[in-house]
Amino acid sequence: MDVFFSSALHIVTPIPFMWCVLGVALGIVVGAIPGLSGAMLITMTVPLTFFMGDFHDALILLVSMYVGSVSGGLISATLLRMPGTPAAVMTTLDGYPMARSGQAGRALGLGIMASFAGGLVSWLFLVILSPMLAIWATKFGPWEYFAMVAMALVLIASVSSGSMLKGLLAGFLGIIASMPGVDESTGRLRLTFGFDEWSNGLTLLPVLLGIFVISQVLKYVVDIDAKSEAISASTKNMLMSLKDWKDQAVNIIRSSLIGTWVGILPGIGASIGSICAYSVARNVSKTPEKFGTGFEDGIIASETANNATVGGALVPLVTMGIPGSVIDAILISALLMHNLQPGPLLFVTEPEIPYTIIATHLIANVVMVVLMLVSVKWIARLVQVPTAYLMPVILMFCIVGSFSMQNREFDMWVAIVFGVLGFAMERARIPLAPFVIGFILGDLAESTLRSGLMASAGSIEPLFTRPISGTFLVITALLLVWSIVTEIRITRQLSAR
Amino acid sequence: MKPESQNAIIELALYLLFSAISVAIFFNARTLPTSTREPLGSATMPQIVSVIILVICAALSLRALAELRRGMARNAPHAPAPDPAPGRPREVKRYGLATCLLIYSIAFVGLLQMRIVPARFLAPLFLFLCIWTLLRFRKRSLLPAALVAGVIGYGTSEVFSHIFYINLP
Repeated sequence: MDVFFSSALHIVTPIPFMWCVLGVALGIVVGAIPGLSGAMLITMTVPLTFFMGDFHDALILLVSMYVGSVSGGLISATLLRMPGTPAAVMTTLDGYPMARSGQAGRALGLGIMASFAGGLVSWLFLVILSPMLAIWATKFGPWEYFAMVAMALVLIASVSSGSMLKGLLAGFLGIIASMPGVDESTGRLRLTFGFDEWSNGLTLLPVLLGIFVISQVLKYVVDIDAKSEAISASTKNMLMSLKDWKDQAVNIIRSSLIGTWVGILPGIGASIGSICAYSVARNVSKTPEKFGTGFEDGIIASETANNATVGGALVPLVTMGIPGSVIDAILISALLMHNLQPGPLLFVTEPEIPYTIIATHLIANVVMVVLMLVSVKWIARLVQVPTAYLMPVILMFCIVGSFSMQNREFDMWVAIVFGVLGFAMERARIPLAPFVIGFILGDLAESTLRSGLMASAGSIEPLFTRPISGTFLVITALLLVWSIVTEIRITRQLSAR
Repeated sequence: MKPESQNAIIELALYLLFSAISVAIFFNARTLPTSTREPLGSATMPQIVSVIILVICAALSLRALAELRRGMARNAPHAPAPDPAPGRPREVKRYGLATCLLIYSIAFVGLLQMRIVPARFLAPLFLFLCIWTLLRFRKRSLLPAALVAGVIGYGTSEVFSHIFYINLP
């Protein structure tokens, strides 16, 4: 715990605290602007972190952006009926009707306080679970890691929007995109098709910038004429009374637990947590018919859960180096780019890194609630920034940002190609998140499988007989069966129409 | 053509592309020498993954074809076109604008790579073209577009070069 306190104290010193405030503020603004997302902001910021003197400050900035972006989505969800981030999609159902009925301040206040409560509960899990899980994870060998990567891929594919097959396809495409270049086991080049530029493989940052940012810019430009009905933000009745807290206590705790648990599951993001918590709140409610009409319980459930997923998702990141969400995948890539191997050994070799993440999560939540309460009115105005000016600037940043990593022109082409690919995949309803998770974890999956096979003289038996990897495989198999059954049912329903 | 049919065609085209890439990777991996000191070697994983992608693409293509057939049946001349949301204005998709942005991006990167014009001049020009295109070439937006593009484009290149020390082309 000493390292945690020293990390927390470091964050409240002037310069790191400035990065924290800046990160949260930028995150809130980006989260609030429909079409922009935390993943975009963090991906675009990663190349700039190379020029920050201290990597801890870079981590503080990135984690603060994460917290801010998940929270900011509630502003546009409430005032525009357009979720700024996918995580706020359930907030629109009750936030917007409530704002329309003249209670915009109340709706925003409930959302802000619920976000804070969700963040706090998930932080408790993060700080308690992480060291324990990290110790447990040190027992992992190559087979356990391989089984866990398989589970993560199947899990994210099965809960992806659309069909599971499409999620799996995206995951495997990500894995295959990570393969060209030098094969680390043999030192030989592979799958370069004779192109010298491919000998280093596809660099992570241009791929991320293309898939997540350029594709979204194109998508937003295509929908540039979409109109939204804006409601002005009021700051009346924003603070929750003691009675409100008492009335909502069960809802907050339940939604926080759901959000944290969904966050911990590898590969699943805040939107799923929010949907699960909202559905449970409606199912257990005595007045389920009020949900979707501007009901306070709906806003609380959605916003508590989506912020709780942040802390939950950081658990597998700091303990095992497995992304709990897409943004975690980007954070892992930032650690890798700074030559840090995320995983349980980080607690031993560089304990300041995981504890900086944990401490930043707490402090960023406090900063978020203060910033949101004080400045929501002004942020709401920024939400309506003209797309025609914003999107080209983002596009230029992506192109220049992809070049900056290695000063290679080839990377700019990679960003553009993956941007178009991401746009086409979205049009075809193929989810992008499994692609990125596959791209990041593909190398780990292959290297662990190969090390495992070398250690067992070519036998795959330990994958099934070792207790932890066996358990992961059973879960993977169950998930696959469940998803395939669901898939078949959907196909039958479609063909019956 | 209806959106479902359009989506099905895009899906089919993508599955075809992914299948072609997988086949290329499969055969390229076959040329890799086998490893003498480890059981799996460099080629096995790419081959396994490309076969899985092929199988998934085949399954998804069949589904997309079925969807396309259903869409075409609904598009038949005798079938009345259903109005998805009566009273609501139809949402117009601006693919032309996105294509323009893409062309500008390709030209921007191409010119940067050829190192004909320095980035500090190209960036404002690229921004101006993008902004003015998105503002539908309105005359009254010419000046604000030029101003924003000039300040942000030039400023960003200078910041990248002199603060972040990124050696822009």
